[in-house]
Amino acid sequence: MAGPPPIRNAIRRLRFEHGEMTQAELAERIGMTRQTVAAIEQGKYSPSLEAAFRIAHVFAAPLEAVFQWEE
Amino acid sequence: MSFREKLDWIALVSTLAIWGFYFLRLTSGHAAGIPAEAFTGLMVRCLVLSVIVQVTLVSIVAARSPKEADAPADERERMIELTSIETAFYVLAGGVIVAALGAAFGADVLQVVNAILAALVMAEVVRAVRQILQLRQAS
Repeated sequence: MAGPPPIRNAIRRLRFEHGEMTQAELAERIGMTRQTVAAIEQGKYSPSLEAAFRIAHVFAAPLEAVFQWEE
Repeated sequence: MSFREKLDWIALVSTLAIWGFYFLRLTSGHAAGIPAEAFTGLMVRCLVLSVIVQVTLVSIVAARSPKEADAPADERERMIELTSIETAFYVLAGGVIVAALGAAFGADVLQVVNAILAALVMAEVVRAVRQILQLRQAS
């Protein structure tokens, strides 16, 4: 099975910068479970494009400020 | 533990307990020379018990976390469900092929039914285990 794609994310930092938002709060706002947010944050699950945009929208940030492709 | 993982644990433990008991009785009965027909009633009782136990336990878990119970599966959970069902499908297909070969080589109806039932049980166990393992990753 292929490993996870080299996608880095800044969700943990962005949560901290947005009033120390919890994973559960972020999950609630994007319509996902806390476990899925944890998996995304740890780079163990790559979200769909729609979910990625939803996350960026919560933080009022462009997509590339939340997710970066690491060569 | 997430709501969906609890459901998988219920499915796994109840399936192993109820159908494990049934197949243990069936195989020990077979070894003692008791015909498989004698276990038809037990099979039906296990089927009914399995439904009652799962419905009851799922209802209790859902009542304790109604918000999670009402929420639809998110994209990661749906992906996990699909990959787990895919793996279970191969187990079920293999079991059905074995049962069909058994029928072709002279197995009686009850033997074929029990082989298909065993395949269903194994497929359900594989589905639940695979799903639990995937749900536990990074959660």
